[in-house]
Amino acid sequence: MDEAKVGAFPARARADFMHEVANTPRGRGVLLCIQCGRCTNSCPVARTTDEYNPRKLVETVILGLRKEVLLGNLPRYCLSCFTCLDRCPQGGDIGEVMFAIRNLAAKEGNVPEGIIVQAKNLFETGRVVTPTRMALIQRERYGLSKDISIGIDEAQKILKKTSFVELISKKV
Amino acid sequence: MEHKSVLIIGGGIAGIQASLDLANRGFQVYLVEKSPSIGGRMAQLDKTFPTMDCSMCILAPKMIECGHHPNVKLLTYSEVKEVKGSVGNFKVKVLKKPRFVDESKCTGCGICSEKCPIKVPNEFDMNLGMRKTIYMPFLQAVPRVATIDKDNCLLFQKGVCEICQKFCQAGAVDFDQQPEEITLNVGAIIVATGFDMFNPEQIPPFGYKRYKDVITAMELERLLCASGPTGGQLVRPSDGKMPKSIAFIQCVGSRDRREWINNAYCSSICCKYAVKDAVLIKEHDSHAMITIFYIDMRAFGRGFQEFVNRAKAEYGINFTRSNPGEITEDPETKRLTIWFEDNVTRTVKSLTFDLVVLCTALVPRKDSAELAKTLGIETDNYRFFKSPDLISRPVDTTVPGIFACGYCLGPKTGDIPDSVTQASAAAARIAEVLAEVTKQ
Ligand SMILES: Cc1cc2nc3c(=O)[nH]c(=O)nc-3n(C[C@H](O)[C@H](O)[C@H](O)COP(=O)(O)OP(=O)(O)OC[C@H]3O[C@@H](n4cnc5c(N)ncnc54)[C@H](O)[C@@H]3O)c2cc1C
Ligand code: SF4
Ligand code: SF4
Repeated sequence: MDEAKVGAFPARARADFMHEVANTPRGRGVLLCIQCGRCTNSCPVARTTDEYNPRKLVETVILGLRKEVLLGNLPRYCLSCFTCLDRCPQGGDIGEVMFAIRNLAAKEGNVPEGIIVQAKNLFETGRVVTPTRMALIQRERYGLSKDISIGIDEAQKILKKTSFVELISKKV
Repeated sequence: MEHKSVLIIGGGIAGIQASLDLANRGFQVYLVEKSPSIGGRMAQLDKTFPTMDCSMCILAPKMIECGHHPNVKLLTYSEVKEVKGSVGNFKVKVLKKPRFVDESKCTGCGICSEKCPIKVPNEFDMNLGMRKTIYMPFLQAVPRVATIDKDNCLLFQKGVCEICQKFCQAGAVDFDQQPEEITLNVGAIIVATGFDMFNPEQIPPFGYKRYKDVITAMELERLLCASGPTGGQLVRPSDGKMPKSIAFIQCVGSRDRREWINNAYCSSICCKYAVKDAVLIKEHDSHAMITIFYIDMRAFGRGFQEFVNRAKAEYGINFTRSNPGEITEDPETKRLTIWFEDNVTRTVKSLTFDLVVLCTALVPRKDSAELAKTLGIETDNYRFFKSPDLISRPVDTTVPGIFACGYCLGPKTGDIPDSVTQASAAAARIAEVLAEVTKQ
């Protein structure tokens, strides 16, 4: 993001990117940001690694550096602890914005391997995590069915209708 | 004759200036002040920007002039209870609370306070110092008359004591004093009730009240002031030692749109008073390490940007553009850690300080909505009084004949020079409006 220097507005900056994020569900917070930096100094991830800086990520969005944001990996550093959401003086819900950016990134085919595995699991079994043997015993104890394939058809119908399948079959 | 009398509500610098302007033009002025003395916030300040003059040295002569002016009737320890009528003819009921001291007899000698056995925190010193139950809030109080705070008085609470009465040579202490209702007939009214400080307990991660060495800027003013609770010594509340490293955090409760705070506005003076206070600390102790954490440095107005530049270059004060989210305290040393974003490397770091000053927002007086209702005037969505036309009638309220000046009009105003300008403007508007009413 070196090109984002004052006076040297990079040619690939897209002025509408901020609004693209804002108009994605959960992304409205970017419009409120005044770049005060409170999210960054409150963020437990930013305190452990210099790579991640939520304020700077929002700055990159505001500057319109669409490619850097959507093809990068930074929004996934967010732990969703929502400390920033609690503290942002503008009510900017920056932890929420991270979801919007991740979703836009997924549309561009930028989905990490681990997520693809989980997503495939979801499509095939109706679950992100397959229940363990212990869990099945517990289910039985509570009088729940041991047959965990119930509802897969419906789940798949929803996942197809919402173009989830398309999304996970795309790759960077 | 009533067209020549006016009511001023609030005896801060704005109310005092408006009173003097009108009194000097021959108006009969009734100045109603809620607390025992006029003076307002300016009386609590140490030095004032932009000139760095001693605040009290500028204010005290004006207070005394108000107290002695043949055309000013001071009604301190009083509140406006009812307002009826319209421009040219307002009927006002004022409640004069009992001070339990006869104003006409008290000489202000102070022997009563000296002898009174009960000490309570002094509001004027932001509760950092103590006062007696029979007291004058500060040395230069006008009127120079003692007041008994009934809630803490042994006689009122336990039925025994009367020590002050025994020692008062003037026979001024009067435990039987009753509330007095005064009816006034005035042609016009000025509201000048000023502001309250935002309570930073509303932002728990800053630890105000939990950590002793996290204080507000108003508390710092009292600690720096020569007539303050420490005689002008800057000390850490936790151990009474001089702090070597001090942080200022800007915009505490200002520009904060979170639902439970709801102050989207910039208070407009905190950047200026923070830089002033930082320079004052440096003048106390040139080795002090000072960092101001800010979002935007709003040093507008004549000479202020230059002042900020000097604070950096000459006084070596650090300015860091980062808005801290929390303060943590070392339970043993009581030192305070702040995390921030380094402006050069853009990485997150932490620094540890002896004292942290929260530059809290200026908010409307607690009772501003109630007073607005009594007067029939409107407030804005923050509860500051509203002008019907911000551009061409900035000191008018929504009721003809009622004007406002000073910080009670909200943050568009700000500092003392602005408050004085507005006070003179409001006084001039009254002269104009009442001349018109008289003509008709
Ligand atoms: C920490 C700090 C530092 C500052 N430093 C500076 C500085 O260096 N230079 C500068 O120019 N400005 C400074 N200011 C700003 C300055 O304090 C204000 O501009 C000024 O005090 C505003 O005066 P005022 O008369 O409007 O209000 P106030 O000073 O608040 O006076 C209002 C008066 O009205 C009375 N009152 C309130 N409600 C009622 C009621 N219902 N009935 C009757 N009376 C009532 C109050 O008791 C008070 O006496 C500082 C402010 C702060 C918070
Ligand atoms: S805390 Fe809020 S306003 Fe401040 S930089 Fe982060 S998102 Fe922007
Ligand atoms: S004056 Fe400065 S500290 Fe105060 S609210 Fe405005 S920007 Fe924040």
